Amino acid sequence: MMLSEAYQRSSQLTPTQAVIAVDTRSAPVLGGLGAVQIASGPTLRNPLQADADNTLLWRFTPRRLEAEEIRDALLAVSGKLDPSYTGGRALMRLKNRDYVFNHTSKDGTDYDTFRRTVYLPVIRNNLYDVLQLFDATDATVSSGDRPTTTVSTQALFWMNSNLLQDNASVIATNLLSATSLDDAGRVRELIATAYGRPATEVEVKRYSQAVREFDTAYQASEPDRAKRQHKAWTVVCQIVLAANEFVFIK
Amino acid sequence: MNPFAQPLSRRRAMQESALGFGFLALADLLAGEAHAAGKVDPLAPKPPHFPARAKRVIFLFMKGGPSHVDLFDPKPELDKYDGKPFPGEKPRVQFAATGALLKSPWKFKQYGQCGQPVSELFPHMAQHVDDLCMIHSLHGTNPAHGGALLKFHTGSDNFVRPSMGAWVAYGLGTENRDLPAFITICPTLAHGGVNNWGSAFLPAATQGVPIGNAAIPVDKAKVRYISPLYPTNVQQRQLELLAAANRDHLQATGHDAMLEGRIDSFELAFRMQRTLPAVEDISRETPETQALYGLDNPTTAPFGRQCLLARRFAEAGVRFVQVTHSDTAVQWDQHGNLKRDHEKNAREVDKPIAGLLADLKRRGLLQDTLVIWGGEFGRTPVAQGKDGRDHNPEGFTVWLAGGGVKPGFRYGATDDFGYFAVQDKVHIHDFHATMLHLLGLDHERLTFRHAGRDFRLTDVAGNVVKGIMA
Repeated sequence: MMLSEAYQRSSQLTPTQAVIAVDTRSAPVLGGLGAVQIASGPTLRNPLQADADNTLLWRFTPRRLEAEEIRDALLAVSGKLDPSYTGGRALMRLKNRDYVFNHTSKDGTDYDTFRRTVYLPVIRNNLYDVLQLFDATDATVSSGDRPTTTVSTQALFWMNSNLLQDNASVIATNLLSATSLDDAGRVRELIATAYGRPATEVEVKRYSQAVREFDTAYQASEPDRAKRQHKAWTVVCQIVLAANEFVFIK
Repeated sequence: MNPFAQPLSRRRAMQESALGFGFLALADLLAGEAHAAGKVDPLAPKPPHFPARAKRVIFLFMKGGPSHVDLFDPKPELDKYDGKPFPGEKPRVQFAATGALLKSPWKFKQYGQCGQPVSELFPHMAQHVDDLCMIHSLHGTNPAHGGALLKFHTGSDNFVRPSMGAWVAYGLGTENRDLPAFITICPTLAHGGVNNWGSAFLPAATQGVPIGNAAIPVDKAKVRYISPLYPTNVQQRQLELLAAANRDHLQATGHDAMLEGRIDSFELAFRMQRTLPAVEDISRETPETQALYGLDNPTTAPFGRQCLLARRFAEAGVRFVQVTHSDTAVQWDQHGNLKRDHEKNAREVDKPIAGLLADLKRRGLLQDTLVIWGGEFGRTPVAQGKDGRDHNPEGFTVWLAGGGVKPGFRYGATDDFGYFAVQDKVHIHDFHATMLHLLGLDHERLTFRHAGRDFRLTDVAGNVVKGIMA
């Protein structure tokens, strides 16, 4: 049901556009779609008011990407993702039968690859911290469900991690290499790549302006104009990647 | 759009309420309830089950197995029967073959009003015995480091379970929203590694945030992603633009606790980015305080820095701070070279721990901070070679201080040779139950539903040791 296009589309509506109404007075407490009626008659109400928590599933509840999806999505939009199949020893740069880890805290862990996250090695003593940060449960526990938490250490990752900056930097390079585009065109390209939809005029204005601001901010520290442009675009690309729209599906 | 047509969200309340900050308290309260339901922030502060004696924990973990019969639990019989075979039956499961009884190479003296004997290895700690509550009868099950570390840290040596710090973070949340609830300073990556500070099936935010590890010098150890990538003015503007984008997105999506929570999390992270390095900046301490922890001496400086950091985190409201004394080679695991290496270890930790106790006390923090000292097991009274002892989970010493425990008190005892706990035995499950009790948590009620049933730190065991409580 949650995958149905019509159902997802209903969640795209702004509250004022809502055409689906919920009558909570007559709805069973744990009602599903049965309690949702296509708008008609006197029961028409603002669904956000009637059922803000969406317990009656009148819209698709925004879902945060899972840990693996986050990494894959970042690599995908920068074009770095290596989609090839199969795992094998190519992912572990160790000698055959060599210890990744031993009791003296020797550390041969290596997560430095562009392969899809599903192929990353699982080193039980040194799990990939990005996955841990985004609620991948301990790799040695079987788990039927993962919680989805929102904590500030995750925000630190979006602000300060190399994974974010590196991907933002690659996208910036890609955008700047399209010499036929002006800044507005680049913003449109960026939003289309990251969010899969056309940019709004607000966004075009906001980010074109931001690029100029950051360019000015780096005026003193970066005399080379091309490098400065790249820095400014990297900062902007990172905003787009760190935003809720990139991290949540609705 | 009529704003009253929407249910009140915290963000809207802040933007629109005429009551401004007076309203914030209520909004926070409401948000706290949403958090308690595990929806957004599992670290929101939560009240204990009953009045707590301790608000926070500093756990001083001596990795490898410090020898209780050489440190806090003297056995005159060992002097008498040195070189003779152990007269009783050795444990059925042993880590390695052992020989005859071995007397302690160190002298003991009684200290303080309570007369607690302490070996000459700990001259500084000995000055604080009137604040310590010795449990001489701790016992576990696993004679190998990996299993014993996991048992001590998670209550289970055979399954992956949440660590005790994660349980405490889950039970009480954090007092300081700018900081993690559970910090572990230079933990060992070996013998269970991350599982010893992991959250297993608890919300991931309850896991310990490691600062470095045992292989990294403490002055180089840092929290991941804490250093800004950009100059402050650039980052600030970046976050403003991010917030604007997120607000537009929220407007189009409608009220959603996760989306709003994530907007808040960036504000918190920006503050954490400033708070954490400030808390970690020990140069703000007076030279007198630094010297108290032994920072003026290269031998004691590394562990002293860890202890001073622990105090600063505890003071700043971190719920559970673990400090591990370990390195990549020696640790407290003297199968051989007992004399040389126990002396080395003792010299490194004695002054810093004494300094920590003194500092906590003079700042009034000791009364509601539970300090725990111990290793994953003790060592055998019987020898390996001529100058070593084997692992011994059958009976060993852990001490507590502050946080509502009886000061200058001894609880339980091992046998005449220090091999087995025999009197008022305290199993590791009992120890966990007692620690939670001191924090105001009932170990039978602190549960988490996973895979179809409720789980506890103490599994289906654990008795609260009332006898040690003040």
